Amino acid sequence: MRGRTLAVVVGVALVLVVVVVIVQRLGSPPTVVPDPGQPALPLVASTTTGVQSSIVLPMGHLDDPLNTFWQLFLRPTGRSSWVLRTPPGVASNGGLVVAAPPTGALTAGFLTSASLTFSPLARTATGGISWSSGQLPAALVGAPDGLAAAPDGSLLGLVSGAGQTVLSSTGSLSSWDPMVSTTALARRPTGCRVTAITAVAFDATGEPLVGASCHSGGRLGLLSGDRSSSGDHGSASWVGVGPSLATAAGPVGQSSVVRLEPTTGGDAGLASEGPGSGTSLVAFWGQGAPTRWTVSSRQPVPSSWRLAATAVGGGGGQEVTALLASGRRRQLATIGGPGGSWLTLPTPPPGTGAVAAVGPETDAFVVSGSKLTVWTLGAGSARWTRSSTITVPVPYGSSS
Amino acid sequence: MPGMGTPSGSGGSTVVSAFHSALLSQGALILLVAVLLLVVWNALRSLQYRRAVARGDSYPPPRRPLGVEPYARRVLRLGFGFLWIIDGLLQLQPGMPLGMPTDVLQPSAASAPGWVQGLVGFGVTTWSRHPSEAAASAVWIQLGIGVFLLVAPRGRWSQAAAVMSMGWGLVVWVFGEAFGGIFSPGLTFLFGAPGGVLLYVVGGGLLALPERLWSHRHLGRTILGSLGVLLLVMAGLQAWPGRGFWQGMTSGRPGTLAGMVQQMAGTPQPHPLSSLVSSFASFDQAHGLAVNLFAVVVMAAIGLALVWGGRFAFPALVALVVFAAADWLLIEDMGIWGGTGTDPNSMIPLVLLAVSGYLAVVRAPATEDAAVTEVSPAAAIAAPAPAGTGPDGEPLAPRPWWDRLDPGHAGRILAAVGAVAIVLVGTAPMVAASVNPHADTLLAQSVNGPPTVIDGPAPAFHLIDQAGQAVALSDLRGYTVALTFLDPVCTTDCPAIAQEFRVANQMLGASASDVRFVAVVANPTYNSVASVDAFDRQEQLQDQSNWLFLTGSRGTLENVWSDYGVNASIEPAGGMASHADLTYVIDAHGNTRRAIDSDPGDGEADESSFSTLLTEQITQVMHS
Repeated sequence: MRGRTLAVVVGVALVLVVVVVIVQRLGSPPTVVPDPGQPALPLVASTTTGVQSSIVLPMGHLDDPLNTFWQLFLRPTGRSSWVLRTPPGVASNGGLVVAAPPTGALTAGFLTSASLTFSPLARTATGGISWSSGQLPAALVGAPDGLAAAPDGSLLGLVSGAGQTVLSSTGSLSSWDPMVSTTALARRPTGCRVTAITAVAFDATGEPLVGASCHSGGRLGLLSGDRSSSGDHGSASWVGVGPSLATAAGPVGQSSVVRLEPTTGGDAGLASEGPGSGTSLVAFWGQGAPTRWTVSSRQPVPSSWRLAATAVGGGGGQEVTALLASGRRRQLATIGGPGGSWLTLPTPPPGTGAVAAVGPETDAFVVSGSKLTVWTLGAGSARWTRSSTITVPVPYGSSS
Repeated sequence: MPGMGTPSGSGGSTVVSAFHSALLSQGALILLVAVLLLVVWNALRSLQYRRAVARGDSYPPPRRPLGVEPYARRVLRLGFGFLWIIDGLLQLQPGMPLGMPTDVLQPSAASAPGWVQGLVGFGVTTWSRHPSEAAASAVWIQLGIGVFLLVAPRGRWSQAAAVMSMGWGLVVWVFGEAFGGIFSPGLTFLFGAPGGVLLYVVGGGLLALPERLWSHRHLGRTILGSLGVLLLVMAGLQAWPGRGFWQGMTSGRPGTLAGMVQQMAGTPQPHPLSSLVSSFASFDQAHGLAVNLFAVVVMAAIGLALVWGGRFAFPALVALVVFAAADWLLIEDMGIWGGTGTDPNSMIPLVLLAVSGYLAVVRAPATEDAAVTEVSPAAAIAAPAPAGTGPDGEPLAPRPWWDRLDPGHAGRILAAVGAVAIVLVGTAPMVAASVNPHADTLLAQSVNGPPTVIDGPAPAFHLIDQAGQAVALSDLRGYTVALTFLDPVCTTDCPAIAQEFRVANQMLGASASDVRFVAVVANPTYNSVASVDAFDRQEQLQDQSNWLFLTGSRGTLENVWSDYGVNASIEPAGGMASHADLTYVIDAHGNTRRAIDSDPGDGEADESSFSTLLTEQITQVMHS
């Protein structure tokens, strides 16, 4: 064969290689890109009110979603131990969120898993000893404060649909009406470009409040409505109430409300700001009527670290605590209330997956399969001490 | 790729028994056809003998020279004939009926684009719903094609065998190998790309060519040159950066090739072989760059040499055989292990094609003179004897075609007919399975066992339906009732069972108006009317007029559970409520006639199978 012919053949082969590579690239299955409007929020969360402390955390085989069962532990005020109070009758391997008002019944909502497309609910006024049941007509969004309860029994639920939709109930666990959606709020001049609703709550006057992710705008995504508003027509009543996040360096870009909780002293919450998973955290509080909002200084989140768990309440009632994680490393930052400063607490025990602020103490929770170890850091102490170990009958294989 | 994965589906003795039963019955049919063909052949020979004696001729008559099949073609034909037979025998493995979709078909398309997954999904659905029929069909089709290639050396019968080989190869390449992975990332020649069965298709195509083309060197050169181009393309892909082949380890994990080999090493197989493959995986992890460089250089060099031809052809062929053997052993892991290995992968057919191409070049002159005679069945029929006279001086009538047929050739024709019969015996149930949307009931029975036939009054109940209306079992007299127990907030089995009921309702057609599909809540906590209504909406059952989802107080429900042996209870710590998956069929007089374990099993095929089973049982009760 002549050299020229061989060159042609080799050229054809190279063209074929390029074609195959292009076809493969074009044909590659689409990768799932997280919706930038739905930030990933850590579901592991605790809330302390004047009545009790609650914490939601995963147990079981944490690398196997079907055998990861989310558990609710309660610790009544004045008691020293946590007790398992996961509501019965529903598989909790999709996730669990809790609405714990300062007074009144505690409501839990199950995130959906497998073939279930609506979220069952459970409410207890007996500290988790007995429960009544109900359900939302759609799936709860994976946000730690996607469910809110008012002392009078009114409820808000954040479900998927039209971005996210807030549903309201006057007390029934099974009768819900749409209140407002992300789509509707995105059209409102709220001071921030709303991309997702991330939290719901009732303010001190009993009016609904939503926390949001904002693409830009310079203000924290907090919006206040009124109970009579419903559907897209009612969105006109929603106004942005979030404080400015602008710094001397200029306005911030993205921000997301991670927690939004009513506390004994008003509302308290935590937000992340900056690109990606958040380069800094700010705590915020709302007090008085009309509510006056203040934000804390910024707590930087080092690169490669992520927000793993949150705690609201404790201390004087308005403490906000964040557990940061990077691989096996952990870091705890807490701020006591308006006007306070972020403090870095002593490094929690290895494997800490959740924290709770209970009065002046901080509890760290370490999960190993079905065993939960609680470590306590006393006020002003530099050492964590093991306070209890709880074995939970995790129902492996029961819900897959 | 063949042989990947483990025989997770090798359980299911019911399905395996049905597979063996199908093989036996189809085998008996094939045996019958074989006996019939033998009888025909013998009858033909007897007739020919008698007529030859009557004419005073010798029998058998002297054979008319038919020429010689080109050597290269013969090698290719016999090679692929034996390969198809090996493939057919591999299909006999008991893991095939249930393991083929999960261990072979789905993994082959796992990283392919949606349209490829859709095509493969058709094959997966067909096989999953009718596993025993599909597996038995694959056995006979492949054995039949193999035998056909072996017994039909020349002429149109041989070309027909080649076309059949090509057609089935294409079916397997598309639905079984997901186009050999050419649309998936990670494509590599070393692991079988562009698909072993595609090479069967090429082999079939070559055998289907007019025989005269095999008498010239040009065909051999074309084969070798094409293989050379293929190797050059594959070398280019192997060398392409960013595809993970240059790294033995990536981010603490095995690189692309090492990962594939390591996975193959985990396939159940003789220990020495797994050790060998595992050792190579470790070697590649440690020396990924060197291994890939060696592979790229060798593939490119062989490719260039094959394209160049001439004096380079033989060394290239030898190098290809050695390289292919090493790859087949160390990387492809022979392709036949694991309980669901379907074929010896790509290297054997590749070598077969290369050897055939080489022989077509070097042996063509020797056969050119003899092979110019194109042979057809007609050629095997001796030319009509000139009209003559018999012993009594009477003129003889012209001999009919069957009398002029060469006995040896007639035998081969009948053998070819037998091979076609084998293929048809396999094809018929495969076609029937592909057009039948309802899964075989034996799948549900393999999960739950057969339905229990009972006869006794169904325990009464008084409950309320999803609209809040009171319903008693006695209100349903006159209807056949399918009664089950569902948890409205269940995440797994209950939604599947509800859908099975929905499909059964559709399958019943007009008869569905005489049936009531009834579920009773099986959750002690979530038993409100609102809960069952939410479940109905989730399962799109709210508009099915003959569907009732009944509930009541916890005490009332506990009595019903007890009466029907359901035992619903709460699991602690976030577990789903537990209850037995049971379905009863109650006749129009209120008597329980069937009890069916209704665990929906795994996957759509099991669910479809339960719908078929339920429909069958309801129909039997309605007409009994």
